[in-house]
Amino acid sequence: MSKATYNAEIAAKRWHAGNIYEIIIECEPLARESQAGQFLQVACGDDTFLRRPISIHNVDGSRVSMIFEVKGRGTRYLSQLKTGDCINVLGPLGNGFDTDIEGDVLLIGGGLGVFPLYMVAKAKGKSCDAVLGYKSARDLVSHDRFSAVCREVVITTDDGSYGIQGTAVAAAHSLVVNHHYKAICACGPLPMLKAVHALACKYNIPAWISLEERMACGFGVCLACAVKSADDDVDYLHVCKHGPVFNSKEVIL
Amino acid sequence: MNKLSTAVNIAGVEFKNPIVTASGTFGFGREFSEFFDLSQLGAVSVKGLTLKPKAGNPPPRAAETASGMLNSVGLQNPGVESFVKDELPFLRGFDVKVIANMAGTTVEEYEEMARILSDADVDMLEVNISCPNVKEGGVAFGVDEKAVYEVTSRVKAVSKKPVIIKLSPNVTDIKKIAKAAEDGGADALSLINTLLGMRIDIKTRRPILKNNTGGLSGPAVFPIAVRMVHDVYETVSLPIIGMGGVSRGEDAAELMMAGASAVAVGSAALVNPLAPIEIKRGLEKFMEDNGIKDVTELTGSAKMW
Ligand SMILES: Cc1cc2nc3c(=O)[nH]c(=O)nc-3n(C[C@H](O)[C@H](O)[C@H](O)COP(=O)(O)OP(=O)(O)OC[C@H]3O[C@@H](n4cnc5c(N)ncnc54)[C@H](O)[C@@H]3O)c2cc1C
Ligand SMILES: Cc1cc2nc3c(=O)[nH]c(=O)nc-3n(C[C@H](O)[C@H](O)[C@H](O)COP(=O)(O)O)c2cc1C
Ligand code: FES
Repeated sequence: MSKATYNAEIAAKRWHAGNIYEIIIECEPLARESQAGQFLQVACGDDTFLRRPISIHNVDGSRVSMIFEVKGRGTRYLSQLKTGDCINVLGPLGNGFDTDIEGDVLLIGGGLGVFPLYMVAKAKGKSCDAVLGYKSARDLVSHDRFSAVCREVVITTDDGSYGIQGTAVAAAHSLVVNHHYKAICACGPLPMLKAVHALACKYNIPAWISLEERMACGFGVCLACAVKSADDDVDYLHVCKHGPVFNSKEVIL
Repeated sequence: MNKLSTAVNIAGVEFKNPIVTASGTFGFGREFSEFFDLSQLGAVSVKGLTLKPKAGNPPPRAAETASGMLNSVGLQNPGVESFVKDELPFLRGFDVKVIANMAGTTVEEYEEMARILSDADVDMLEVNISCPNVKEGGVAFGVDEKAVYEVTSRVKAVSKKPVIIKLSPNVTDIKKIAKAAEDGGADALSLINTLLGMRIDIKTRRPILKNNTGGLSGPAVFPIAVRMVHDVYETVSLPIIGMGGVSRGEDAAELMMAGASAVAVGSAALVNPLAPIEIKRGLEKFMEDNGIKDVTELTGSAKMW
């Protein structure tokens, strides 16, 4: 009996940009167990039935932080909470990124996918580089946190309003050819993850990608969060249980 | 505290309390065992089994609704043989009755599974004739009286374990279906399975579920469950495992008053994994607060106007 739900107090809440907010909760047992790339199932008030999956962005002492964008009812509820309010969370859930990989690691994050990579950046420090892709300069969130810990941080924007114009994976390409990365860790929209997989295959580097799928339970019992398996003997894997982080060769995107 | 009597007897099988986990929301127990001791439950019903392993439907398989959810998992499971070999021994490590839930595409498949499961170390069989998420079989058996009679009697003929028939709410008259199951020799009934529904993403104009439709469950269906359990209780003299939207102890009491002898918890446990235990405690508290010594007093105790 090791898993639990927690009623956690919001220690801090902050607005970052656009519709993006950060909630930091005080929850010692959760902080102790959370690993890079894992997620929480967050209860979002009486107007929602299912919990919402949100990745763990950071652990600092006994505090756990999440960064999320307002998409619908659940995330809107979260965005309106205040410091001192309580939220009920279930977790930490899923298998995250392996931060014990020896050697250099390249992080590739796109949009909201930047946030779950931060704990990897902290763990790997100067043995990791990061390429962070955003829509435009207005959307830059948490890039400075990566700059504070990583060796090199490259920023791309779709419209060229900041950093390199273009996609994160295009920028990652030039880093990959000039370094000997032992692994790529990536999170972002599906087209980006497909491109990461192609890049990883081309240069024969293992890529660990974090996937999203609609969930009900988040802890492996309902079988909602299916993703096609690349293994002929297995039809589906489950994002909440086998993932959310997969080797890009394990799944069919 | 006065000693409460919480045991219930379902077709000769004694559950130490009336709280059961609903099939498909419990897996095979491993995940829940990390949240609480499964021996605290009366019984568990495992994920619906099929004769051969089944991949299930393409994702997305879940969508939220007002006070509930739709699912279109489509009976993904490792098959009955893998269940017996790889999953059942783990569950047998707990002091809890095990109900094997099964679904077939033909009557012969139901018979074959009943044979295999009868020889396995399970306490009861639950025959799902009501899954709305598979094309052939499933609910096709559950909406026609003759088919219900046929499946029930043929499964009964080969089964060495008590047989529960799980009824679909997607029918015109559930009383007739319940009667057909009773006539076929069912030892108990369970209801309700999910109600067929659909949600459309208004931005993409596409159903949220890749299967287009799915089964509705959760608090939204609770009043339907109460009415149907009541209707069935009035019609047949079989014990009923009631389910559909139960999320607190009071709901369990209400469903029992409508006619259920035991109560299964499904979707509520997906949102709060401790729900089955909290519901059990809530029911006990209701008994204490209201001077009810024996939980079986509740069954069918609601008086109609
Ligand atoms: C493992 C995982 C980690 C995630 N981490 C983050 C994060 O760190 N930051 C962040 O902003 N978002 C994250 N998401 C996406 C986030 O879960 C959705 O944006 C959120 O559930 C939307 O809820 P809503 O009520 O605001 O929107 P609605 O559209 O009203 O939600 C309706 C239903 O659809 C589900 N849903 C909608 N979009 C998604 C989606 N993209 N993925 C899964 N379910 C969805 C909801 O959970 C809910 O059940 C993550 C998703 C997963 C699966
Ligand atoms: C995700 C999910 C999967 C289910 N799978 C099965 C199944 O395999 N077999 C079955 O008989 N019922 C299945 N059901 C139906 C439940 O057992 C139950 O009858 C129904 O959900 C109503 O109860 P609830 O509102 O408490 O969830 C499933 C329900 C859900 C939500
Ligand atoms: S969300 Fe229930 S199994 Fe993954």
